Amino acid sequence: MRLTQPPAVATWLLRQFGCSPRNEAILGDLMEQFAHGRSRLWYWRQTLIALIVGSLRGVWEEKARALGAIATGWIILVLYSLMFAGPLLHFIEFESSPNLAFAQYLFSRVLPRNWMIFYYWFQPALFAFVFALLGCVVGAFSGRVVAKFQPSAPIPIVTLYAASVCGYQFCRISFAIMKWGLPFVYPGHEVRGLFMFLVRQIAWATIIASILFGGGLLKARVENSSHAQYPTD
Amino acid sequence: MTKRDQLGNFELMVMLTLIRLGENAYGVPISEELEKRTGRDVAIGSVYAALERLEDKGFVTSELGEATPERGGRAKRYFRVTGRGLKEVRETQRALVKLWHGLPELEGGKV
Repeated sequence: MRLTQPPAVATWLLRQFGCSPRNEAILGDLMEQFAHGRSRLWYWRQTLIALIVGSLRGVWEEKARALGAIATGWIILVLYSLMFAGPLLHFIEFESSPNLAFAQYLFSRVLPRNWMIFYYWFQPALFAFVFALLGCVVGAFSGRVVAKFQPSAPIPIVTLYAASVCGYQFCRISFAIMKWGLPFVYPGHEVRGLFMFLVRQIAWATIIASILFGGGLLKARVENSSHAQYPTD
Repeated sequence: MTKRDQLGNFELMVMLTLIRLGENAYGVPISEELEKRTGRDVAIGSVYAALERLEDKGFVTSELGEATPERGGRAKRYFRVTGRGLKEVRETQRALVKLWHGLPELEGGKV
C-alpha cells in the first residue's frame, strides 16, 4: 500500500535547511509530484539534491566570505580542543577509569563494592556527557560566529560548516577503523567498547546539532509563507 | 555582454522549455518537459537553481500562482521568458548554428 503523505523528515529538512529563495515552491512541486505517484525514494532524492544545490549555490556566490566563516569556526573548535577540552577530557577519562586508584578507593571505602558494575557503564556515559555539554556550548558559539558572517542568509554557510565537522568526524572514524581495526572494542570488553563508541558518537551528533542551533537553523520556520516572503513580481 | 550573462547548457534547455510551455511554466511541467525531451532525469532543485540564475540575469521573471491542497497549500511559481531572455536565446542559437555549420563529423545526426 502506498503512503499518501510524503516523507515528513525530508519535508522538514527542506523547509528548515533549504537555501533557495523559492524553497516553498520547490516543496509544493515535490508534494504535487508525490501526489501524482512518485515514490518516497524519489522524494528523498529530490530533497537531498535541492538541499545540496541550494547550499552550494549560496556558498559559491559568497566564496571568500564562506571560506572565512568556516575557517573561523574551525579555529574556534581547534583552539577549544587544544587548550581546554583535550587536556580536561583526557584528565577526566584517565582519572575516572574503573581500573585506577580513584574508582578503586571509591568502591572499596565509600560505596558498596558491587556497585562497581554500574560505574563500569556510568563512567563512559559521564565522560560523553561532559564532552557533549562542553562541546555544545562551544559548538553553538562557533555556529553563531559563523552565521554572523552572512546575517541575511546564514543557512548555506552554517550548513556547510556543520557538514565539514560531520565530515571530519566521519573521516576520523573511518581512518581509525582502517588503520587499527575497531579500536574501541577491546578483547573481553566488546559490549562496553561498543557502548563507549556509541555514546561518543551521540555526543558528536549533539555538538553538530548545537552548531546548527547556534547558527539559528533550528528555529521553527513559518510554513507556507510564499506570499509573505516573496511578493509577486 | 559579460560572461556571467551568457547562457549555460542547462540554462538554455530551461529557457527553451519555458518558451515551449508558455503560460503554464512552473516547476512540475518544466521538469517533466525537460525529462521528456532530453530523456534524462532532472532534479527540481537543479531546475530552480537554473531559474534563479536566469532571473538574476534578467532573462526570466516569475510570479506566484494558485495554491492547491495536493501541494500542501503552497503556491505555484510561474516563470516567463522576458524580451531580453528571448533575444539571448536567439543570439545563442545563431552562434551555435554558425559553430555547427560545416562540421562533417556532426552531419547526418550520427556520432
